[in-house]
Amino acid sequence: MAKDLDFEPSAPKTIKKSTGTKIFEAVAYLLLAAGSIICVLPFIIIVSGSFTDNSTILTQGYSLLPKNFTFSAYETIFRSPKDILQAYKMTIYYTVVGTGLGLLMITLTGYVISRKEFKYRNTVSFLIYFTSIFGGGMIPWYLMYANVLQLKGSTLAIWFPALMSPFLVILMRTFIVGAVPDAITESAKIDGAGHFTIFFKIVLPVLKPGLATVGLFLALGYWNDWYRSSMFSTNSSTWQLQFYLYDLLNATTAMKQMASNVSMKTADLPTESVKLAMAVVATGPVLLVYPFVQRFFVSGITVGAVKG
Amino acid sequence: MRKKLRLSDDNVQAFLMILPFLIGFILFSYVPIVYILRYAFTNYSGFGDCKFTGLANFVRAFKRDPDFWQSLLNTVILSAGKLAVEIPLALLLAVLLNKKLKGMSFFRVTLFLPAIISAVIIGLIFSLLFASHNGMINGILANVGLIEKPINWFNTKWKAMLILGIASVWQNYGINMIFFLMALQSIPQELYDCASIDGATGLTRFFKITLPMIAPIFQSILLMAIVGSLKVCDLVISCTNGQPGGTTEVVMTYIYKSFFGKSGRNIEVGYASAMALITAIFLGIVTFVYLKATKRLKEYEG
Repeated sequence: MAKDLDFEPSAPKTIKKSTGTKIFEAVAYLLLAAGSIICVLPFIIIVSGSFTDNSTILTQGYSLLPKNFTFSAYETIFRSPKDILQAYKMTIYYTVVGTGLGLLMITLTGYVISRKEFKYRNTVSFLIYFTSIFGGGMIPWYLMYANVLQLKGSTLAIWFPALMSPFLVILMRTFIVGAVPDAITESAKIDGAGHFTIFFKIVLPVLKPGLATVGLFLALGYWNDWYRSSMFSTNSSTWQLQFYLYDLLNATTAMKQMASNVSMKTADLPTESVKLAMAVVATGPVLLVYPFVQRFFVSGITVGAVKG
Repeated sequence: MRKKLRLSDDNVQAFLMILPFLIGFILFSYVPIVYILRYAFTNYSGFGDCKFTGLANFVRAFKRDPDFWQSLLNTVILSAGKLAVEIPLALLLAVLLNKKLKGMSFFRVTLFLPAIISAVIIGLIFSLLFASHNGMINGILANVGLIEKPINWFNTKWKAMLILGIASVWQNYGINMIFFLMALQSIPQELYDCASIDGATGLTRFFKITLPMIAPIFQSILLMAIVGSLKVCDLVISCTNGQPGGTTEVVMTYIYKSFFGKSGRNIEVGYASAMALITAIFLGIVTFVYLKATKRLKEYEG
């Protein structure tokens, strides 16, 4: 994880501080450190548990460092990795397609509703805002996909719905307004540039922070989603990774399937540690990528916000 | 006489840009509302007959289904309780992170960590931490001597609700913290410099500069948080799934189960649609009242 980032709390400062400031800083560090521990600890417990012998977990519970270290949970999972790899493949597919298309559609829409001279700006914005509040949950769009368009079982039903996120459009609009001052677009217009030219030549090049933030939210949404599989998948070959995990945690059938894959009795399967190891396998990529993406993301917020 | 449409026309270009989104949006957000309206007045069960039954579903919801109202009440209690902790916590951490101190980039990474994992894993984490016989929380409480025998955290309604609340705060405060941070970073430093010259200190600066400056954004963040928590669904399914005995059901899981016939219930598309409609109207009222009540916050923007 991100342990090796630049963390130097005791670096010397040249400016002399008052006692009040010192106390404030000490309290600030204390609170932040306590918060961070509460955030990171559960991850450590899961990773540690996934390397712990199953019977040790059952009798002694979870610990910060693995007692009776073993790879057996991972061996059990990867002895017959076909199902997991399939879920991985599908999730990567959903994430890449969904994030790519979603970014394109959301950025274009965010740009248009950020332009003051666009006549129907308020109407379009209202259409988008309205459902973010009044939407009736997932039932309306389930009816649309399953009953009207007959898309049950299709992978389209899994990645398509999340493209239309009103929240992300509004967020993107905020980034665009912050990154591109009106004066610049107006002078471009006077020079005869149309919306497409302004968008691709002026807005897009300075929109990295917005793209990183919205892209991260989209990608996380796709990677972490599981209930679209539970609604639309008719066949386990289209399952999302998180739904595979959900199924493993909640249905005994999945454990039985895994036991028969590795020719073991269900009772002999290290169920507890297998669950934890699956959680690690399902979250791993996000944890590995996130520290790198968040650099853009956090610096992006600063850049966008200073100008806005 | 009609004007000819031309690609060089600004409005045409603008419409081309929003067309993909708008088509999808209308098709999947507005057309389905028509379907909900249609099914809400029928006894449709997912297949077979679909008979118009007038207001029967609404009469049933209002008169004969206390569990539905209980789930709505649970949603409100859970949302109010968790937001009362989550929003101040997110703001406090954002204010601290906004100080230009060493190591803040590290804390940003760690503090946002819970926001990047799925509800399934959050459910797993909290069931491990609060497991009765080998859970870590019971272990700690026993070690400190606060309890003698392990607590079963999931066997009464209020204990299970408490854990749902904690899990929900843990999952969601990060995103609000990041939004607050964005708002804080848009405050010009000169304002604080002027205030320092005038002798304003910590808390005064917070209440006289910081809060008024972020008030408009605060209003939006809070609205999103309220609507988001009233719509909570997957976290509840993966944490308690309504247990014990359906007492921690929230409104979205209640509708979900009657729509799909989960947890031993019959599939009742018609009735679920009626409940979804009632819930949507309820959300609309909450939002309207909220926007009216916080109008003054927006006016700070000036």
